[in-house]
Amino acid sequence: MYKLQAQSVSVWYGTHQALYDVSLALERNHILALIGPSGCGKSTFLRLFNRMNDFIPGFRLTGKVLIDGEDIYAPSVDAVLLRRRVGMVFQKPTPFPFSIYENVAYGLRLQNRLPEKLIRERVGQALQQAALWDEVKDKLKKPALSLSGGQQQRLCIARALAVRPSLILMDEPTSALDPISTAKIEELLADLKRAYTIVIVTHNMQQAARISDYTAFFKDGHLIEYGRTKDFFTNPQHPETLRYITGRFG
Amino acid sequence: MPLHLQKRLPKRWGEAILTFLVGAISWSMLVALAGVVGFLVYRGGKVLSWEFLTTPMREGMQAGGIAPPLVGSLWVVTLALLVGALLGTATGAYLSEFSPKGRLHRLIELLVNTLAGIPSVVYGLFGLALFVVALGWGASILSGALTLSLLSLPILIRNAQEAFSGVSPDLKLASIGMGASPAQTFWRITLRLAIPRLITGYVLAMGRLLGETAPILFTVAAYYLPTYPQSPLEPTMMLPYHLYALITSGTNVARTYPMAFGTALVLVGITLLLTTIAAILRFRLKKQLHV
Repeated sequence: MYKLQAQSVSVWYGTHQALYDVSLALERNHILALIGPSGCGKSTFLRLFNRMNDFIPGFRLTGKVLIDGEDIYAPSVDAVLLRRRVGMVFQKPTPFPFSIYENVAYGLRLQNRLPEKLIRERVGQALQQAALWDEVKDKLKKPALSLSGGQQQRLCIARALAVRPSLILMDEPTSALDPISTAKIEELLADLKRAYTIVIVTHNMQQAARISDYTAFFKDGHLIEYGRTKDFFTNPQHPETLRYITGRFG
Repeated sequence: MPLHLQKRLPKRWGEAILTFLVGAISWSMLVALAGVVGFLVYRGGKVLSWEFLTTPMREGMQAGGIAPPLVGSLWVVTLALLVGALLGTATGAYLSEFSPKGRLHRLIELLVNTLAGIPSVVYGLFGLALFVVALGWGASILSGALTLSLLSLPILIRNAQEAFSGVSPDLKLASIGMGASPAQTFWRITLRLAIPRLITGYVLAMGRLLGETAPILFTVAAYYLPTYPQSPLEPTMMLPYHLYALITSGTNVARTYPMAFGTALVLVGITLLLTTIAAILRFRLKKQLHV
């Protein structure tokens, strides 16, 4: 079974159509990169999978979005519970103005009272998975905002990992970071792939080529091309894709 | 090619004049404030003493202190603020964080703005009709406090709305993205981060309520009652009305005028104190929350 699937998905915001009949599927433990020029619908597509578009006035969807074969827009699905199963990392690091420890524990504390011992364990594991543990293990009580930008972004990844999501969404997670922090996060993604399925929006085509297994190219709300990353960049099928990856627009 | 960095730009006279004018106006504001306080100190400073603050008035207001109106004012205003802060913050939270931004939202906003424009004496009349007469609570601390809390609502609602919408939307979204419900996001992120601005608003509102005279006239303030209230259903003296009484009704102006200025000085002093406390609290809490 596919980890996630979009079946003929179209999305409107009021009268503006943002996605046109998009279909794709991704197996578990793979990384999918979404690329395309600004306003092409890649962020809208990403946010379908944790229903973050629900808040945008006039949002409307046709078609089906499935995670593990389950239709997440079915009326019986609770969007809040869905978001606990799908982690999200944003473009700008968004640590809460609490301690490092409390940031990572945030998602755990939203659920029914877990024993503090379990929370401590999970926080430690998440920080290790996010390759941040060695840098913060002696200052877990320090404010998260005292960390550097790159560390803050890894903290946000740890925060998403702590609740053990089944899918992780990342919206340009490195575009606000310096090259060294970016490299660290890319390394981290390769590790995380073993346990998680990841969908990542990126503006950076080299990044897509470096880290992803599959790449989807969007333009003006249409999915132009979708395929294995290595074929995608070496042998694009669609002339628009060729034009984009060779840098002729965007 | 030389950069000509040493070349003088043509003088911008318009800008210079504007800067001067704006500066002069702000300084004159400060001078005006200092003038008012200075005048009060000059006319009323000599009656100020520990005894003035802690003892009741004697000889038909011609001697003694202002303890009963001082205590009464603090009672009524504190109670009014408790009620007003609770209702105002809840309404502000609803408008800023929860209400669908449709017709009902615009209607409530319109009502709040209208409330803000109603003269305070009308609030007094409303309090008289509702609390004093219809509900039968008489002229009492309860009636007066509730009337004042209504008066404070528009300010407190606005303040809460601004405090909540001032919290970074990125953080609210991050919390939603973590699987927090809107209510959980409100309690754990939005409210927590809005506290410094909320408290500033409460303290400033308290300062404003302390000086209100018209709404307390018919609802709570006693003309002469040199005792301390034993229950919220009793009337009490209050500072603004006491000031009015001292100025208008004395037969021995030489004795009551300095007391009136002393009373005014106490009122202004409390307000300045509250403003200072608000500034300090805000600064400290902000530092604590790193916002």
